Amino acid sequence: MLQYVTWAIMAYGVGGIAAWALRRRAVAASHLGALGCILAAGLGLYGVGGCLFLRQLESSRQLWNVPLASMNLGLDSLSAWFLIPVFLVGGLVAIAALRNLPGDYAANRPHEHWLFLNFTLGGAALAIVARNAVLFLFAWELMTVASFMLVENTQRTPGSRTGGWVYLSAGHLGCAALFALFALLGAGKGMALDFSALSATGGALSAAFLLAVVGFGAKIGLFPFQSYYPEAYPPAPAHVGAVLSGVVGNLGIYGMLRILYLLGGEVKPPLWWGYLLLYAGLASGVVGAARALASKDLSRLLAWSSVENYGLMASGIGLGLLGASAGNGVLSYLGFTATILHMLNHSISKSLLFLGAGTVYARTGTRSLDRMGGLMHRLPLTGILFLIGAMGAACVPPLNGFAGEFLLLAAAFQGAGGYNPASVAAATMFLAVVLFALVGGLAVASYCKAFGFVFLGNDRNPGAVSTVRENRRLLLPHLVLAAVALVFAGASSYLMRLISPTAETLVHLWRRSPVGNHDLELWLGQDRLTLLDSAFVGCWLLGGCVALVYLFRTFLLRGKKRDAAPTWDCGYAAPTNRMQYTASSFARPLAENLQPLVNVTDQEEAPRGLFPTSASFLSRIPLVETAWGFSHLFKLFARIAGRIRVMQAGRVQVYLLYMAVALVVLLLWKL
Amino acid sequence: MTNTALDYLSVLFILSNFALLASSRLGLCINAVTVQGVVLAIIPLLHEFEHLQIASILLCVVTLAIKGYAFPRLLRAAISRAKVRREVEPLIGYSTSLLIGLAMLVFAFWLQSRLPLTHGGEGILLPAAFFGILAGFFITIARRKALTQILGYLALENGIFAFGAASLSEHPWLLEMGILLDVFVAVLIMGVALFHISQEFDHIDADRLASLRDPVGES
Repeated sequence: MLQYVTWAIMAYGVGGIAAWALRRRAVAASHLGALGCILAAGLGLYGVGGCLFLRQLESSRQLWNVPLASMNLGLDSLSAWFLIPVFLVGGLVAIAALRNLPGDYAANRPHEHWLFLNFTLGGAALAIVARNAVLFLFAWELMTVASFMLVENTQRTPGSRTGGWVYLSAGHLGCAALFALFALLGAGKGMALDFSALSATGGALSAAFLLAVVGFGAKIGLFPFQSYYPEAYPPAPAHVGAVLSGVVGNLGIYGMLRILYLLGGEVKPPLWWGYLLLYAGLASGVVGAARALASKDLSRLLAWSSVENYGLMASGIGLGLLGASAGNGVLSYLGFTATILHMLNHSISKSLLFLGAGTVYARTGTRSLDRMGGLMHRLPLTGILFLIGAMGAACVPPLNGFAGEFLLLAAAFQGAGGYNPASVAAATMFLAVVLFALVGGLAVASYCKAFGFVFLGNDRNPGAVSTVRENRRLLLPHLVLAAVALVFAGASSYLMRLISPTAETLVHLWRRSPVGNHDLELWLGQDRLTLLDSAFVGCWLLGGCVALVYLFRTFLLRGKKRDAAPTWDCGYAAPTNRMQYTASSFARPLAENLQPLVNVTDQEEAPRGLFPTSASFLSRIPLVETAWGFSHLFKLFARIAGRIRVMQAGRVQVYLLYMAVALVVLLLWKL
Repeated sequence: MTNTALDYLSVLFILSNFALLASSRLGLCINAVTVQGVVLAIIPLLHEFEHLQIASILLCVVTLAIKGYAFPRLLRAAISRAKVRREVEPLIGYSTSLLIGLAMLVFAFWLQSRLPLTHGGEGILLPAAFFGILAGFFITIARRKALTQILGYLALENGIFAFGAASLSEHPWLLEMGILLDVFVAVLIMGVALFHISQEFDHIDADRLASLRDPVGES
């Protein structure tokens, strides 16, 4: 099955290069580029499905003429789970992009877009199957740089490029940590840095874990790296957002899990590993949810929501590690299962949302939530699909996202039960329960805002929106994603059973001896099957009640005439659509309560006197951390780089001197 | 007999390098490199004095033709075309160059005592060769004119050539033919580049090419 995945990666490469080669013929280039993605999706999903259902471990190793490197590929179930979003989302995004690309793209440089899209997806897939440090870093870099190009590709003015640059710099900060990580793990390990050869002991183990958290955490906007994460989204086309949130971000989670394979061993992980990831994940969950609620730009809102969801996944890994440290197999199992399950569901829902947002942008020409509204009348199907995505991403039952969050909560309760109630661990677990609930609530509020102010009410900016009917043929990728989301929701329990072997492998990384595994085996035999089923039966019952109420309403309204009238307008004689309740107003009460996380600043000029002449009100939510933390860091880097640059003197003689010194030093060193 | 002759030639090689280090006149520098070329042409013959091979004689003739005739001619044509006779304002002065050259010679002799060689440990050809490499490298660094740098490069290659002759016991001519071919191509290319530089900039000062680099201080 590995060969299908390899062929898929090749299809990405060939598709991208073919699109580039045909740059003089825009239509052919676009179709070839998209064909590469779709072909790869077919091949890859077949290979991944085979791996998951046949339960095969595969690997292949070829020599690669680069120092420390080898073409060492492997496909196990962990890789397979993370490959699913790459291929599925990648293929559907390609179909959507082929038909919905913004006008300036389609006319100017579609070949560049397709090159970078193919390379981003190919890099992601390669990083997931890579089993050699150098190959992994190569794929990781390819993905990072190509996704940056993908974001910047539409931007032709220097001012609007800042967001992408911030994204690139932060990504490379993380990448530097990854280089250090693999150097640490591979020190003195011989010729090729294959994953099977990498290991560490003692203090190096913890240093490696920290480096992995920094390196992979930067990719998913883990606290305290969250502030840069949404910067890339507002300038990027919506479907690129789907790739960033649904594919590229997952690699951060994948990296953390994969590194655990290298760090696992006889020695149990120190407790602080689990605490670090749990707290960092909870912090980015809360911050992400709060910022999502306060965002005015739809893409930014979705991006902050990704920070929140990745935070939840990271805290799932944290719970898994805590379980491993404490010898609590069930806690560990639930944490890892929740992480993988939530990763899958989040990818599906979030890409669905971004594709829906793309349709909305194409229709309204704006990304500001305060200027949209009433699109449900024009785009009913888009609206329903967006709602399915929104409910999934907000983890609302009975949709797919709920399963992951439910398992996280179950894990936290399970963990709390295993400790002395007065201990720090138990308090942490209770805190986790509370914060999971808080994050869930905030997420629901932000998706109420996203859906409500885009699709409900009346259009706040009438005239700008074209009145052409919804083109349902363009919604095929959305429909497929929504169908997958519904299937995942219905089959959560089955999905959990499929993920189970992967999670058990992760649990057993530290529990090689069969002694002490009885609790997990007992639990797997008895409670697991009923856990999600019972939760979802309740959900479907609740959904059934809602459906009954709706049916009852239609029954009551049967045969009666319905009128549309304005809501109560406080007696004002001439209300317009712009006077509707805005998204900012909706978020304001909650945002004010979250004051330290969300920095609401107002500039107000109140009306004065009986006949006021001028008045204004401006409310903004600036990002606090970007103002101080990171700008100082980057200034420091710029200064150091400026110093180093003096070496680049431009004189032939000086370069010759460098060579001479290097040669003489080498000669003396080896004497 | 051959060993004494080899030592005399080695001394001549060292002295020619000193001449290269100390002289500002380009004509004299070219002469010094020509002398080196002739010395190098003779050395392989001395090595196999008792049983001469056709290949060695051929190598001698080719080396003489290229290093003793073609290069000097080419370089003289270059200085007359670029209208330079002297290297004025070198980056490192001549007396300092001589002192550094002395230090390099000492280093070269010390190096010979440290190198684990099976062959060529006797005589002074090996340190002379090392000295040639170092001095040639030094001249490319310390001089301003592109032409002097070419001379330095030639001295460096002569040093490598001599090293091959001193340290390889069998078939040194294989290696030496390779080096000769390299040098020949390199000098041809450098001659063309030199011609273009003098045409374009009105001078052949390599350090002033710094104006072509990236500007520093912008970001």
